[in-house]
Amino acid sequence: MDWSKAKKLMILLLALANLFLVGNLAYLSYKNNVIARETVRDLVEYLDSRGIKLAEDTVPNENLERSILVIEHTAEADVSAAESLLSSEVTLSPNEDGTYQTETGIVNLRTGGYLEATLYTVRDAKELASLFEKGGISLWSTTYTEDTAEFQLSYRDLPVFNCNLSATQTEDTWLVSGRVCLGNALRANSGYERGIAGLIVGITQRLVLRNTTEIFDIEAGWVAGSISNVGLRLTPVYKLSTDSDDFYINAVDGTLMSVEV
Amino acid sequence: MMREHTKRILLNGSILFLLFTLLGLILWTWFGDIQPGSAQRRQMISTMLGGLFWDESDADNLYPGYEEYDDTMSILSPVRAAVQNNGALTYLTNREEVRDLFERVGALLSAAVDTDSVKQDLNLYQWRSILSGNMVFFDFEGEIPLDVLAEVIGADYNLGEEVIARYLVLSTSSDGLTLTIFSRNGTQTSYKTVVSPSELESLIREFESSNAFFAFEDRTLSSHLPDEFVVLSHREDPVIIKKSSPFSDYTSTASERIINAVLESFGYNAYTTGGYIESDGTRVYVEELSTLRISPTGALSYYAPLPDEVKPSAPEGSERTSIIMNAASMLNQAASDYIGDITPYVLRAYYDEAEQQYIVLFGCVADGIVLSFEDGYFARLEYTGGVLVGAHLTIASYVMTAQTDAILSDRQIAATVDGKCSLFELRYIKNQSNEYHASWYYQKQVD
Repeated sequence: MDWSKAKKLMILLLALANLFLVGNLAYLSYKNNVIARETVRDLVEYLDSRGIKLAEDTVPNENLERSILVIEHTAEADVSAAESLLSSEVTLSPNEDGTYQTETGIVNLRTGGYLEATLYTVRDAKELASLFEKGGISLWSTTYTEDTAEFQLSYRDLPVFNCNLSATQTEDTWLVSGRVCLGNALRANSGYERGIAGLIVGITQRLVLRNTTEIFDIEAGWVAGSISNVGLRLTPVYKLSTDSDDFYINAVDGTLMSVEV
Repeated sequence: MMREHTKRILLNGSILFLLFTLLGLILWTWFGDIQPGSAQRRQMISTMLGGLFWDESDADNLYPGYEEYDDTMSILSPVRAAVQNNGALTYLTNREEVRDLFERVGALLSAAVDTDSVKQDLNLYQWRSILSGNMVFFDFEGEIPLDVLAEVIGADYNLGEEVIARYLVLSTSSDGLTLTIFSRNGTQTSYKTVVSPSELESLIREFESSNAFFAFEDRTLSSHLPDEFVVLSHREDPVIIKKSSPFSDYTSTASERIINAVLESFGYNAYTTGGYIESDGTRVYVEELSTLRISPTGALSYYAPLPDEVKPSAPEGSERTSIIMNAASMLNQAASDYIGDITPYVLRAYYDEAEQQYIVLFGCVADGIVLSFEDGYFARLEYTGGVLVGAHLTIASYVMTAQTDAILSDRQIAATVDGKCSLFELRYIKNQSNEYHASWYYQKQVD
């Protein structure tokens, strides 16, 4: 048997198979883009027929395929955040009420991710932001003044709309309060997020009844909620900024969520 | 010879390279984001391989039945809450905020019903004293069996007797945490525990603003209104709610999706169940011997024959809990696609001796205001021996509009009441145009 010829034939067949798959991927990619553009165009026309304006480029063109996440509360994550905020290498142990205290301040982490802290050695809001990041508290946006700071938190590179931290400086002390997402992420089997076009169509009647005439922006993010004895639940949402109100659509089941930010 | 050797290496190397490329392209085609549903395929493979390649664990592995818990809790959670912090009362009517607060105290409630406690029947002054102190107050609007609530939040129920709660209060004292229940028949019972109150104290400290007070705290109002009625300093005019039919007002795709969700929640396979439409437009779905009918107006009725092996009897303990959880979870799954801006709550759960059925009735609220329904309930689910044998509900969407109703203030309406009320609240009543308008509703106390 001529192995050399057999190998050459195999190379030819493999190359053809690879070519077919590359072509298939290119075709699928092209087809998806076309379908996505058509879906957005149909959505814009549908909304327009009901008196609501929406610019085509406002609609996200990718389904993030997120599911509801259960954030299991862990003492390790709390300790790590507290150590970072207190800039202390001492191993901390929680009191009964989740309070961690050292010479540099007090950090209190409660059920549902609620945080209160009094920090004596932090110089300014920028240092505070870096301490949050170091302690596993990801920030989406920050707003500073000389003695105040507002932080919007993020999870997996998307904003958590109802997790914010406020900080104020009085003399040399920073007082921080708000909500954080700390712990292990577990995926719930409630399904994956639906396409944004279908989600918007599902609430169009409600937008009309609320006198909405224009959708300015659509932003993907999360909404946090507490779970008894476990920690937090992060629900994937799309925030619709409109001329009548902000609407938060649960991306998994299409319901509107009532969110206090 | 050397040339032959190099050629062989080149050929083998090319085959290996092409094989790996082929494998990569196949994986990219199936598990990449290029095709819809890739996340499901990734999850399926991850599960098959025991989570080898994806680090995101399944919540169900650690908390079995998490999804059912979530569905159940969204209906069993209280509809209103209030937090008293050193005389400042914060009142919450947003159901998601109320649920969040309830879940935050879940661990404390678990501890309170689990540990040994000293039971005490309270008189009016003791009840008022608890409401005036630092506490968290939950209003379920309907009747919630406390043992059911305990099981849902994963607590062991050690209070012994059956307790049906309308209001539930967690308060702090120097000795420990006190759980107080106001039952539907108007009696108040407290259970003093040795659970540390420090976590509740921390939570209460978060609520500094005051937007309300209890009616009994005002001398004039206390002679007209129930003690537990929360008077708001400024009550926003309630919005008008529009009722619409998912069948006539929605796109056909949305209607089909709603019907599929309803069928699946009743255990039908939406893709294989062959339905038919009667002459009056009623859709009928039959699977085995159970029948589900949906009229053009959205009225849904479900009947299933009782299996021979099931003997009717009043459910107790875990069977009763499982029925209420099943009913709540099922209703949430069926209704979440169409219900709109209102949320269901458990109105009442009881055993009907005559029918030999355990009945679970559900009501609905919008921003803390109860909706009135012609039948007296939003949904009715009937169980025999733990098996669902009947259901009645209306598939309709209730959406808040931008219009509001001007209403008399709490004080003004209280002044028009002669004597003391046993019930006093805002209620949504439907008019001829399928709109729900809020108005004051009260029942006078029978002496």
